[in-house]
Amino acid sequence: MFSSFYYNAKIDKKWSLLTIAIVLLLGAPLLTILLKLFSGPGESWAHIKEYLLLDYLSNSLFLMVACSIFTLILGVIPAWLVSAYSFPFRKLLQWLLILPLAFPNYLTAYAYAGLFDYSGIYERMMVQIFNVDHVSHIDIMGIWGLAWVMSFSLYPYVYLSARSFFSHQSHRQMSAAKVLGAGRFKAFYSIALPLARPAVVGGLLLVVMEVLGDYGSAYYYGVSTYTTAIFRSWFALEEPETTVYLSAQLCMFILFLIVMERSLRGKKKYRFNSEGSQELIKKTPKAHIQVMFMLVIIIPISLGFILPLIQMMYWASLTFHEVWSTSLLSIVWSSFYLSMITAFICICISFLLIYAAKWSRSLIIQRLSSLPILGYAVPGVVIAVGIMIPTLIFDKWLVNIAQYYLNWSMGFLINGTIIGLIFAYSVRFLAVAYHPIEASIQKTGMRFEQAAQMLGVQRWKRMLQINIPLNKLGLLSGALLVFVDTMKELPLTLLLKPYGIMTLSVKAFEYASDERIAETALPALFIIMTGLIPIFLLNRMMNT
Amino acid sequence: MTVLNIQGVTKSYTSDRKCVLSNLDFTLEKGEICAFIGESGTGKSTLLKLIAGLETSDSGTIILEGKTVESASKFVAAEDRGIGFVFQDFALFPHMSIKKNVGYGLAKFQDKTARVSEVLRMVGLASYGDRYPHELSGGEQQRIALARALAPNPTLLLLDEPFSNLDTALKSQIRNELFEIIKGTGISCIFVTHDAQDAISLAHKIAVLDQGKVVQMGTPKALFDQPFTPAIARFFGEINIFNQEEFQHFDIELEKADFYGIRPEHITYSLTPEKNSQAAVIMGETFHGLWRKYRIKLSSQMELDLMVDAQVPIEGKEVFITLAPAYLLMFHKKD
Amino acid sequence: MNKYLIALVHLGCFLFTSCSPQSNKEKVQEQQQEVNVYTHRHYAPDQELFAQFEKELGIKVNVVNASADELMLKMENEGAQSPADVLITVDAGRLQRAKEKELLQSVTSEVLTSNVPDHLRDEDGYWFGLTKRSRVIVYAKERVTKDQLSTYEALTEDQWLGKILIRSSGNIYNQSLMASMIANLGEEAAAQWAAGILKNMARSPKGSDRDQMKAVVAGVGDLAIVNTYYVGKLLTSPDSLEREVGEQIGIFFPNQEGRGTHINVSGAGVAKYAPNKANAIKFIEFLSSEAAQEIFSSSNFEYPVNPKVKMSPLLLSWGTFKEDKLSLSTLGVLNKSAVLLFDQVGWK
Repeated sequence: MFSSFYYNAKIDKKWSLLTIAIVLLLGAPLLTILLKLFSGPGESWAHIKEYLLLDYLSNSLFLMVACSIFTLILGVIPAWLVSAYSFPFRKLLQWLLILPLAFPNYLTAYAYAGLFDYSGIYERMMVQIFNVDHVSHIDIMGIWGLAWVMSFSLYPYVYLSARSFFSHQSHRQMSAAKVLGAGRFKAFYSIALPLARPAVVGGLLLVVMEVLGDYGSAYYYGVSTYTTAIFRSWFALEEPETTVYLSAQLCMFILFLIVMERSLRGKKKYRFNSEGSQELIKKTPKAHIQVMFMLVIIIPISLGFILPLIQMMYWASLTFHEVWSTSLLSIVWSSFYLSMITAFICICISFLLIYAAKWSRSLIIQRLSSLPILGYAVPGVVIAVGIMIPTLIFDKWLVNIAQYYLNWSMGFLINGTIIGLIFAYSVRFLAVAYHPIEASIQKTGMRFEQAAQMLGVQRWKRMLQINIPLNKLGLLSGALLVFVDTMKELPLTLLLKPYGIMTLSVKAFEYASDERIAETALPALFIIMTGLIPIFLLNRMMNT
Repeated sequence: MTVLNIQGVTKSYTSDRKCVLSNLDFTLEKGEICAFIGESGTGKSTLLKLIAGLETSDSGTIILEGKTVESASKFVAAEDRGIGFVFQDFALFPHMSIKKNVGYGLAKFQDKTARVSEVLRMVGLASYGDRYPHELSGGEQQRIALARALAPNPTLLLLDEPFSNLDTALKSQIRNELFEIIKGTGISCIFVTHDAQDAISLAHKIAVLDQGKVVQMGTPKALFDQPFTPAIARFFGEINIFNQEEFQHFDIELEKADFYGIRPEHITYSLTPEKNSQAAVIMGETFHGLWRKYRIKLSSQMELDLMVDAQVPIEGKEVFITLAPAYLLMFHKKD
Repeated sequence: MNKYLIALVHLGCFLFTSCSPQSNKEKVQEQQQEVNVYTHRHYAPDQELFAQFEKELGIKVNVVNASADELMLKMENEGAQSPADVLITVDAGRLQRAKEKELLQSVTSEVLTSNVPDHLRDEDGYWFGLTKRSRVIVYAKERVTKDQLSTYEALTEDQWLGKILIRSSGNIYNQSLMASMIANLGEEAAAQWAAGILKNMARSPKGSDRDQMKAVVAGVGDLAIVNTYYVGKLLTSPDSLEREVGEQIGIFFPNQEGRGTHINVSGAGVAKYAPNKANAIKFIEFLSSEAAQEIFSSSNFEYPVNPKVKMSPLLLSWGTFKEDKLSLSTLGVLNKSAVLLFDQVGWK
């Protein structure tokens, strides 16, 4: 296989090698984990299989299915309303709908738990304002509550992909449906919805990956999921082999989902003429229907963003004097620049990979290039292990070399430095940048690239001068999504951050792990505010 | 001098393993304008992309001006072949002004600006330099695309379905203007089209592709007058085809062939019986502008199409026809 | 093009300056004194203490904060190059595990042996307890009286059916309690105990220790098993309703007639490859000093290990108690069996 690859004159070696190098670099942590699949689980595997696995698997599957259904409803319907109808505050609502993205979902989980707590805002309001004597307690902390909380914090992934499809791609098909006499609603479910499937499924895949990778919220809500098994085998049963084995299985499952999604997309190859990407013409419904639409849209906004925000602000007001200090601002700054650098690196790598794959005549390269996106599905802690094992070998080797040949005792280059941390972020969040960039490149197609090629322009130049400017929006939205995700990231940061650096999420975690949930609110609010800026920009971009 | 020589090129797509091109040979002489025609899916666009280097073949050799650009052991990338390409949808870079678009391939040129204005003048759009592609009409965009392809002085110009994106009303005018420019530069050129009319009026030579092979190649006149197969004949216009048995009814002395054909316009008719004429009943008629087409049925139950000058329609229900041997086309089955 | 280049160079410079190796062993000696602390404790008083240590001894404290398991894994992977000097965990089991994995080294310090009683430190000097916490029964004062309560074992009686609140078995405090059960009663009896608690649970386990107490006050159940200092935290919460919750519950120290109440320690050990061993010892000594112990007691409501230190008034108000003198190392040894038993009886 490799010799035929090597001797094939028609495959661009330089780019193929670059792709392979990037894939190996980013894939090393995942590979480290996947290889463990062959060395088998430890002895506690039998115990896990007998007592835990069935329960954990069924919980995970339940969450996966429930969150998929909820996020579909919460994402697609508002996406359709804001792209097909006009009503008051449409522009504002369309933006507000993305906001839950700024909330790390473990914080949404804390906020909901706080709201419906025994001394929470909900019960106090019932007693004090509505004078209800006996408040029936709402127990949010269970598997249904978890599905609820996760759905409300993750639906924007579906919303974003569905909206960009509805508003920019479905114009022609919708006009055709209208000419054929179909009403808006019929056109929606018979034309727009089926056509939007590939886009929506892409967003859904991100949701599923988040749900499967989550640990914090599930643990707090007392729901044991597959990830619980991963943590339990590692920490409680002290069997890293089993941990990595379980993670590898999770990776395989996600890989399976990705392949499924690809083949679904492959079979239904809808072709869209990108020149036809006019905006859908918006219809103005009757006044009472406008109000109804607004209400429908306000539901996900208020439950996914405003309600948890109120809880956070209440907590922040209680704990402000205790938590606030000017050092918090320097923490904001370090979170900010870490996220910026990560975002920049992620879009560069994603772009290179997609670009190289699209142009490679080698199937191996095409397949390989999408492998690194698996990182998103693996719980952060497991990635941290996958990163530590190979990079420490490298670091120790480097230290020894430096000591031996240069007589220079250096520290680690990757571990415990900003390089290691950003590398870890990139492994984890590549997928987040990959999807919008891939969609954008798919839409732009090969024609401009080919045109530049026929003008005798070399590849690097074509990439910089033609492809990057033409895919600017895709690149930027990829960068912004990575930025927001990095701001929220916790487990990797905890394990791999250098001493000097503190991030907002780590700060929030310190309080939370001390059961001082209320004190997490101020750093959480900073995460949310810093996250709002790129979300605002993202929305501006999607509108232009 | 031979500009392009293709030997035994084969290409199949991995998805369905169907051969798009099989063992195809082709040559192009300097200064020639050649049209690839054929039904869609016959591999003509693929062939064009192979020549350009945008696709790779499974086997075979492509030689450009004496240099091998693709063979089993060698592959020269598209950007290093020095070929100009005009894309079906023009593919003008939307984020660059016309000037930048046209000058994009001129990295190696000493005086870029001069060359840009020269080619812009050549396509008659000298004042368009600072505009952007979306501000131009389809015809203008096409001329810019041509200017851009011609600017670096390519050895060979390739055009993929150059007229499929244009309004029919303006099509013939734009078509002629475009090829005036191309002919003016004296460049060797291949274009792909599914419209035989384009091919006949613009090309020096036509290559008809069918099932991955060049089934006939020659001047437009040769192809029109002596098509090798009924399918090729049909490509250049409607035709009535008879097999040997059906042909015997006409009682014409002609050398033996497997099939005979005559174009509906070439059938002579009269309203009264003449020598050797056959009576036919008119089944229906359709109006085609300059022509009027009649579906007629002979006594032998054979049905034919007959085209007559629309100014002199046939009155009545019956007509008498004769087939002039000079107009008859003969086809031989391949062994 | 130039623009891109300049931007790249800037980025490069930035990366290089910000990632200059920070655990450089030689540099440490030449330049500033420092100590690298891997800690599972995230309490605000700790940070005050670290700052105080920096000020008094002029040694900079670098902190990596994560769960003990993660930190141990990190140390294991880093091996001889590990920058860690001190490992702090919140239970003895983890310290014992770190000792077994050869992540710690033996230390002899007179200060430490005099500050920390024998049963609260490793006999070979691998780790030293810093604070004590006991896992007690709290009850709703309205509905339960002290004399209804006696031992952990008695909680499995039918009178408490649907009345007990306790968090999940993933929590280390529960695992240690279970380990003490196994050590004291044997595996079979411990499994029966866990099954009995499970039967009596008011709801499936979830949330934190604080959440259990809130649920007691809300009437979901009557009893909860929690660590003492969380009661202190509720009583001093900025939220008035949380303070109310704290006031409505009583604390009961179980098994006073017998072996004593289960306790655990939060403690520290010197890392095996500590690049700043001397500083590490000074650091732990500082934490065991009377001044530091008083802060643990008064701001974090943990029991001081240093017997010379007076407890804070709040701790005193809960009364003194007899503690289970079981060797804390045993908790570490039995931790895995505890988890396996939890899973077998189905305690989530």
